[in-house]
Parts: sequence; C-alpha cells; structure tokens
Amino acid sequence: MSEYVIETKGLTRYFGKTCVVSELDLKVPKGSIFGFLGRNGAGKSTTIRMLLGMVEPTRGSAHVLGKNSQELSPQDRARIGYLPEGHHVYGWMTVEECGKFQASFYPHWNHTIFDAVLSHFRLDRKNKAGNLSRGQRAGLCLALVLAPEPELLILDDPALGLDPVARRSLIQSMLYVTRKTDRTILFSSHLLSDVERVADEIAVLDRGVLRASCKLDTFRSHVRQFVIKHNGKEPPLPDFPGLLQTFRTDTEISLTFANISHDEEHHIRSLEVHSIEEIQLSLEDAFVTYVGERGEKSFFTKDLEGVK
Amino acid sequence: MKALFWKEFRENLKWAILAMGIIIAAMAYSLRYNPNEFYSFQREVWQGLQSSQFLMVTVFGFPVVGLALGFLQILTELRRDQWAFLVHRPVTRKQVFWGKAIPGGILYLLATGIPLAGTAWWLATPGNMPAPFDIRQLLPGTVDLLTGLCFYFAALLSGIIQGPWYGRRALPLVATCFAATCAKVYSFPMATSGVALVLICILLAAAATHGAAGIFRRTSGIGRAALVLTYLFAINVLLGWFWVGWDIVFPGKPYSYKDYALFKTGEVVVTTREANWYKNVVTLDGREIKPEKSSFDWQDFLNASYLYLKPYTYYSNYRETQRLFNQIYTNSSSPYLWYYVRSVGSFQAFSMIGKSCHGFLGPDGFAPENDPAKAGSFQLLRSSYGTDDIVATEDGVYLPDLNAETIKKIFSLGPDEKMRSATIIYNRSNNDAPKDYAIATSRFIYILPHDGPRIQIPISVDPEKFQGLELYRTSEGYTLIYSTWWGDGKIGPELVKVSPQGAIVSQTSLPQLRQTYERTWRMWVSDALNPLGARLWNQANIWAFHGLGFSDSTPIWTWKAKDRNKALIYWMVATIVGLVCAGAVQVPLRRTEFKGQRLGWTLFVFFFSLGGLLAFWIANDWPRRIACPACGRKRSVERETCEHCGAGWPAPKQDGTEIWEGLTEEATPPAAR
Repeated sequence: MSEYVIETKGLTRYFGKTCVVSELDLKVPKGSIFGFLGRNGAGKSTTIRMLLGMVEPTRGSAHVLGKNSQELSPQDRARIGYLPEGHHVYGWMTVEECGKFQASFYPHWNHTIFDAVLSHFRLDRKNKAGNLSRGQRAGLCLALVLAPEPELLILDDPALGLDPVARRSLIQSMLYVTRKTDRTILFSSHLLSDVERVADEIAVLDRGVLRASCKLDTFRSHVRQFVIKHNGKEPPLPDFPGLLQTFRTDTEISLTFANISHDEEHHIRSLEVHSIEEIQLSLEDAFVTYVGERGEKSFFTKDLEGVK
Repeated sequence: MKALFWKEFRENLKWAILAMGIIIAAMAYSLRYNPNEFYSFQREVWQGLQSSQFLMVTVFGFPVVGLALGFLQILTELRRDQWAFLVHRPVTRKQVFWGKAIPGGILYLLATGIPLAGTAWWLATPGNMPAPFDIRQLLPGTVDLLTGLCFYFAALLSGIIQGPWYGRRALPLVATCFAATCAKVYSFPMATSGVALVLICILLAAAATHGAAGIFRRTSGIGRAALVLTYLFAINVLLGWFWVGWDIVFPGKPYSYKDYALFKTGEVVVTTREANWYKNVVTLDGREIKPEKSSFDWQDFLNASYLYLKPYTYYSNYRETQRLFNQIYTNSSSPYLWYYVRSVGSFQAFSMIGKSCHGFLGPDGFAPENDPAKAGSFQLLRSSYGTDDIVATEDGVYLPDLNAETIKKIFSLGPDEKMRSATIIYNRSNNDAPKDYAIATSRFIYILPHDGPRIQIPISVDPEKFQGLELYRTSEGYTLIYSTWWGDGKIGPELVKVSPQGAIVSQTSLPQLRQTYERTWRMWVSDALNPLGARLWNQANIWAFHGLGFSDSTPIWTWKAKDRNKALIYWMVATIVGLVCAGAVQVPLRRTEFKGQRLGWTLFVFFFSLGGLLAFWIANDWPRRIACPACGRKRSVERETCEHCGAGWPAPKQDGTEIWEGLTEEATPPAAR
C-alpha cells in the first residue's frame, strides 16, 4: 500500500455555479495526525464528505486507504472512523444502547477502549444520550468512533462548541488511543491551539483552494513578520510577491510575509530606518494573517483629529 | 440489519401506534349506527367496509399515514451530519434503505391493516350491524392499503433524491396520485394491477436511488427505468390537473345530447338537451315544438320503462356493495331492514334494534334465521337489483312483499324462452294506483296489466343487435323504441307501435342520431398529447382483461370498437408527435455521457413523446457549464478536458504565498510538481 492513506488529485466540487473545492491535491501520510485548517466555508467539510463518498466530486478523484472514495465497500468503511460535525447520536438511546447498536455493525469492537473513553468522560451508561451535555455527547461519539479501532480516523471539527476542558479531554482521548498504534488522523478545525497541540502536519484551505500543506513548524517558519520603526518618514518599500499584510501606524510599519527569500529579507534589513525587528508569531497569529484579509491596513493618529 | 430494524422499530413504533389510534377512531366514527337516521339517503353505514364514509378514511387516511411514516423516517435523519452518521458504517446503502423500508412498511401495515382487519371482524360478528357481511367487502380497503404503501415509499424516495423540493423531489409524491386514481377504477383486477405497477416502480426507484446516494447516473438500470416511469406517472397526473384547471378557467360549450322521446301527445320527437335542459324539441318531420311555458320539463314527455334484451352487463364497481348485496328501500315503519344477498340467493331481513338476522324471503316464501334453506334461492338479474317492486330471475318474475314477508310468482317462462328483464310501467297520473308490469324475454315483450289479461308482443327486431327498448303507454296502445345503447352505432333505433291488444300496428326504422359533441381545440391537443406508449398500454390492458374473461371490461371493449376509425387518426398523430420528440432528443443525446444509452432513450421518448422528453430532462443530472478559460466556449464542469478545445482546467492561481513542505525559496503548486 502507498505511504499515503489519503490522496486526492484535482478534487473539485461545485454547488450550482459556486466552486467550493478547487483542484485539491492532498496527501496524508500514514501514521500522521493531520490538521485540516481553514475558515468557515473554506471547503473542509465538503472535502471530508467527498473523502467518505457522501458527496460526489464534480471532477477529480480521491483515494482513501487505496480505494476510490466513491466505491468504498462496507469492509473499507469498517477501517475508517468518522466523527461528523455536531456529534450526532440517537437521543432516545441510552449510552449503553448506543454502544450496542454501533458494535453490532463492526466485526471488531474493542470494549476496553469504549469503556475507557466513557470513564474518561464520566458517562453513566444508563443515561439517555439526549440528556448528555455537549461535551459528554462528544465523548460518547468519540468512544463510538474509537472502539472499532479504525486505521484512519476522520474528525470533522470535533471540538466545535466544546468548552476548553471538554476539548482537552477529547484531544487527550484521541491521542491516548491513536498514539499507541500506527493510526492516521485527519481532523478539521479552526481552533489553532488544538491543532498546535497534536498535529504533525497541516493543510490550509482558503476559499476552496489549498494554500499550504506542510509540517506545522514549516508553516510557522514560513510566515514571518517584521516591524520597521521610523521617525515619521516612511522608507520606500519594495513590492515582494509573498507579502501577506502591511500595517502602518505613524512611526511603524508591520510587514507579514509568506515564503520570504534570503534576498528579500536582506533587502528589508538594509532599509535605512530607526530599527527593524522580527516578531515571532504564534501559530494562531500566523494562521489568522495567512487566511485573513490581505493587503494594507493603517492606523494613523492624524485620522483621529476630527474625532471627539 | 437486525440492529437497523431494532432502531427503526424503536424510533417509529410510537408514531405507528398514534396513527393506528387515529385510524381506529375515524373508522369507528364512520361506522357509528343510529337507527333514527338509518333510512336517510346520506347514511350508507349498512355498506360497512364499502360505505363512502368508511372509504373516506381508507382513501385519505391510509396515504396520510404512509406519507407521515415515510417522512418521519427519512426527514428526521436527513440533516447532513446525522445522515452521514447513519450511512458511514460497515453496511451498504441498500442495506440502510431496507433497514428503514422493511420496519417502516411493517409499521405502516400495522397502523392501517390492523384497524381494517379489526373492523372487518367486528362487522362480521352478528349483532353489531344490521346488514349482511361479505369478506370481499375488504377489497377496496385492501387496494387503498396498497395505495398508501405507494405514498410511504414515495416519501422515502423523494427524501433521498437530489434536487429541489418544488421539482424533482416532489414528483414521486405526485406519481402516487396516479396510484390513487387507479384504485378508483371500477374493475378490481384493473385497479389492483394499476396500483401494483406504481407501487413496484416507486419501490424499485426508492431502493435503487438510496443505493446510489440519490444520484441518477449512478443508479442501476432497473432503478433508472423505475424512476423514469415514476416521473412519467407524475407528469401524467400533472397534465391531468392542468387540463382540469384549464376547463375550470375556460369552460367549453356544454355537452349537447340528442335522443328520441315521446311527447305528452304520444308523438315521437327528437329532443336536444344541453346541461340537462331541453334546448329544442323537433318532430320526426322536422317541425319544432315550442314549449307552453318558458321551457320544456319532464312533464312534457311520457315516461319510459326500460327493458333489456341482452343480459345486462353494465359494470359493477368493486368498491360498491352492489355486486354482493343491496339494501331494499322499503320506506315503511317496519322494524326490519331488507337486503338482497347474492351469495344466499334470497332477501334477508335484519332487526334494526337487535341488529341480528331476522329471516329470509326466497322463492319458496319466508324462512326464519336458523333455516335459510326453507326460503329457497333465486338469482336476480342485475336489472332487478335494489328493488322489491318486481324482481326478474332466471326462471320467472316475482312480486315480493317484504313488509308482509310474502312472495308471489307472477310470471313463468314459456318454452325456449330466456328471461331478460322486468319493470313497472309508470302511471304518471296516479302513483298509488295498482301497478302494471312489463317483462322482456328472449322472444316476447309481455305486459301484465293489473286489471286485464296478459298482453304478448313479439320481438320484431333481431334481439342480438339491440341492447334494449323503451316502452311507453299511450292513448293508442304502446310505443316501443328499440335501441343499441352500447352497440356499434351502425344501426338506428326501431320504432314499433303496438295496439292495446298487443298487435304490431307499424314498425319504422328511425335515423341514427348524430350527437353534436363539439370537440374543442383543448380536446384535440390533449388527445394528440396522449402518447403512443399510453395508447399501447391501454390497448394491451383491454385485450388482456377481455382475453382473461373479465366481463367488467366489456363496456370499454365495445366502446373502443365503436371508436376504432376515429382512434386510427389519433394513433397516427401520436406516432408523428413521437417521431418529432425522438428527433428532438437526439440533440442532448449527442453528449458523451449518453454513450450507450441513445437507443434506449430514443425509444422511450418516441413512445412517450412530450411526457417522455420531459421525464428525460427531469431525471438526468445536467452538469453546470461555464466558459472555458482557454477557448471561452461553454464547457461541462464535470469533464477534465474541454469538449471544444481539449484544454484541461488550469491549476488555481498562485500568488507566491503558498507554503509546501521542503520548498523554501519558491512556492510551487503541487499540480506543477
């Protein structure tokens, strides 16, 4: 089998005239925890649904565990765990019934894992699933997804709507179970702190187009910010292709770049200004700048003169 | 699968029980019995499972239950992620479908079948309803049960089909109205086969569409055929609604009908009626008679008594009790209700208070409830159903007196004679006067005056060619008008004047009346739109049912035979329209996605013309077409290369900010690597 558990080629999906995923080429290495990032409406969930054969691609292809995603057999599905957005369970079933119901479909069901995750989330087996809190429901869903011990785990925004404690519990469970074996996890999120904690690699989708696919550190190291301080007389700035954002104040210019080259960095550092300083960006700052509004922004005190 | 069954049962049992409760309550209300209003013509409660109130429950209630259960099963889970949670498990999509459909179907049958069977059991139990019970009374309810199943599967189908609710998804629901219409056809085999056909189509379409995640091109061949047929049924219904709406908004000229009648003076006249009003009255020599008042009414004409010369084969609707038993309206203060019951072969009385059987009245007289054989049995000719004035049987004519519980045979057949029908000769001036009777056998018309000897009139026409006759009593004797009714329309009526003693005075062949049935352009268009396939199907049905010996199809058979020449023109028009449509469909069929399907679609559109063309357009997925970045012409978004210039799709635009692993100096899109 290929070293990649997920491979897409030119994966594209239109809804009406709108292209929501465009020519997506994605490779998810086996054994990795792969963060799938993007803003709301970037096309993450649609991509995941195409990977699982729930939505038919308009063109292009997706292979999951070596199989065409549109032709996944029940046996293939047994190897893929999927936690959909919103943590759906049947509210009228008890926690125990949920487990029994789900277990009846899988040839392999690890009761120990199921019990462990339930205990971790302090779930009472006799409780109705409809009466659980959002965090508990997420825990139940995770238990249902992890117990069949799937080779590939696809989680669509698993932490959506959870408080920090529940989020931490969810991630701990996920790591506990998956780190022991050579499992692959693809999870979509826009909570960068979670991604930072667990992901090996990330892919960033922006308005349906893949903008980045790399290791977490690579992403962080490629998005750089320089703050240029001057005495009120702004130096002439070159027009670099990787410039993401410029932020101007009366005596400062903040420049954020992606993929800045040595020559370009040298050029900036050689500007005749008061000082030039590089700011270390957190992943969240890097991501927000990367997928946020691009172009120039300014904040001058002279603009405030007319404001009372 | 077991787990899916369990889930569906647990989830929907409460709804099925609720539906069952409502159906039971509605059925009980429809069969409520009140002796004080029992004789009211609005009340048909004695018809039990075939009463209009009860059938209202099955006709409307069963489909509502089917729809509600189907939608409850599918719509509550159709939210994107919940559906994904259900579908993404080690089962096929078809298993998911059957996991829903089998428990859902069982729950539907429980919710509707149990009340229906329970009601039948209750009605069959003596002492509950002062009326006979026949197990065949279950047939209409059973056909409605099947119709409701169509609605159930249509709900499952329209839930999964991809498309707008106002369009493609609504059509299976509309198609169910086709089944509901079939259920109303008078012949049970025709009704059942029509409903079964729609049911099979919708079921196959639902199963295949679920298996293909609602995508038409991924649906199996059989599933596609079933879905297209379902759309075709729906289009047919929509077209019917359209024409009904058209006729309401633009009503045509009222239907004008010409007929022979006897004016009150005894003169034979031709009447032209329009919307039940006499438009004009003309004598045989062309003289128009003016009304004495503002217009003519029935009192200006003599009343006719109708006699049948051929065995009376007029249809009987399987939804009505007529073919099983019929209430005899005795209009008295008798504590008993009387019925003629075919299977018993005698009149049967039920007590209105105790609701139990009181006794039987047959050719041999009255017999108590515990000894029905003593009354003997006779089979009434169909023309005598529903009356106790005079009843014709295979061997003679009887006059029963239900109130006195006596019977008298007033006529026995002569040698080589066969009974045809019997009727009262109306006496307009005095309804309470002693009655005279007329009897038709295969050889003679007999008149039995209340105060004189029997009059025998020989049948002076070929009885094989005439369906029956109208008999009038005039001051000069009797006037008979023999007519063909359901015949082939080639023979005009025969006018026979008879003396009071029964001698034929004169016989004249009357010209065949041409009905001025004005065909509007709307009728021409709707006939032309009736496609070849529908015509063939209709013809095959008639042949099949006639060949199988279902006498119910006789009226259609003879009617069609009469219209054969006119129908030939319509067949030709349908062929031409079919050919034009088959030519038109070649334009989209040139696309590569239809490779290997061209012959099938062409034949389909040829046979179903405009409806087929519409079904073809609705069923297929039509990919969005946008301008090709290379040549500017419209191209399908689903194809990798442009069908005009062969160019592929360009990689997404790069702006130098892309980050790929291992590439530091230069951002290179993966597509270019």
